[in-house]
Amino acid sequence: MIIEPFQYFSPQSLDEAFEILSEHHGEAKIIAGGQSLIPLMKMGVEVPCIVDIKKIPGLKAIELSKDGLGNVSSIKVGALVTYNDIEGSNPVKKNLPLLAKTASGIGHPLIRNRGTIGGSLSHCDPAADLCATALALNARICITGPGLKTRSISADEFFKGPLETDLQDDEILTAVEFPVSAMKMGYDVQKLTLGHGDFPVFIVSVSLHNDGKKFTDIAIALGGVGETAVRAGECESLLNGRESITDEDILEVSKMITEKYDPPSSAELSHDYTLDMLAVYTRKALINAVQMVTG
Amino acid sequence: MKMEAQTFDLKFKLNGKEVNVLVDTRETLLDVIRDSFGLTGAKKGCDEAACGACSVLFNGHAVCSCTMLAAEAHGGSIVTVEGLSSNGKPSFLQKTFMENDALQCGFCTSGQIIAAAFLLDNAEGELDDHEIREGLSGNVCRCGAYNKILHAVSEASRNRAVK
Repeated sequence: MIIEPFQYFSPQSLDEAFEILSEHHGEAKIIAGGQSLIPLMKMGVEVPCIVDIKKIPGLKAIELSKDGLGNVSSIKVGALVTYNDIEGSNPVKKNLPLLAKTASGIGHPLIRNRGTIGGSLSHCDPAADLCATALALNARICITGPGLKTRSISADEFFKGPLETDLQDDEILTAVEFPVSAMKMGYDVQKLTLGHGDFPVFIVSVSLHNDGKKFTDIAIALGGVGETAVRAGECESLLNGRESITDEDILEVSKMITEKYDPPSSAELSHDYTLDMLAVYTRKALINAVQMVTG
Repeated sequence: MKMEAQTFDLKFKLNGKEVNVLVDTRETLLDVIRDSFGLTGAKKGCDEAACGACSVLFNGHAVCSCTMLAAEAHGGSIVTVEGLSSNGKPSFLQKTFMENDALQCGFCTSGQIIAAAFLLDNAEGELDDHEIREGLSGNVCRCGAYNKILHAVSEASRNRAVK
């Protein structure tokens, strides 16, 4: 049982949803899978109006775009696609294996059957699995507003702070678009959790390409080390454009990360421990990603 | 002024039967199946999607009914552990749990069986131990009957493969 009373709406179309959102301006909250919102409401967070968008058609698709040569150039994942759907999607596994791997590691199966990509990104927990991976994969967030006006924004600009995004009160996140590259790709995601299925303390999501000569598009995204998930830009540029990446290079980058970023400590985990583990997991993720394209 | 409690006219399929009940919007699906329908197989453990004792099948997917508004189930189909048996006879999976003594106090058992049912419905052939552990990783057993639960689900997947 949730403590504070609230109105519940289940619009059947985007237009109807925008009507409700404008009528309850600033007081309404959109619910998708509810795996973060419902626990918050149980803790006493007051939300006077809940707008359930799950009956709106067209938000559950995984759509592929192809270039002139017939290769997949991007994949658009609908806001209501669950982690379980992502994990099981063949086009995602083939073209965006980092996204599939990230989704398959979120919480446990009961959560993955319910939680959605749109919900996770718009909730914007700094340590959320998908926020880090959306950054690593240069995702674009597709947003629809009143009058069905659409806009898209990079994940990087979308995340504003803890539980704070660029989404306005009268807008709905409708899909997340991921560019797909034909280049040889390495990736990995590593995270520290208290126990299996728990929310990450921090997460490291790594993606890189190799064009046969050198490493490009190095992306090291970190969650749980600041106000939002972030890209470790300076560390990426250390590795970008190199012909080879050695264990020493990776050691240097993981050291640099612990100098620049600070994962939180808690009653269970001391600061020294989380910092050491940040270095360990960054190294592990980079070694695995590099090995995928060289091994 | 504080808002008054809001109600929702909820219709859904519960263990194969169409049902209709007026709920408070604040009620979770777990509250409604236990308190309005007296189906007490699903348990309230952690009440925050961390223990899996409240697991039910929603449109064929195992979910935590404690972390779902009852209103969200509108128009959907719910199967609780009670709905797995037919005419009071346990299902094949339920029998396998009994035969393997895959429980101690029984509090988590309904959730374990629902999660296992989802796992078996969505995988082909015999499951290995890793797949079973991952599939049931959202269901905590405080007695620690994990090994016997693993044996039961493993046996169920093996015998199903033979069928």
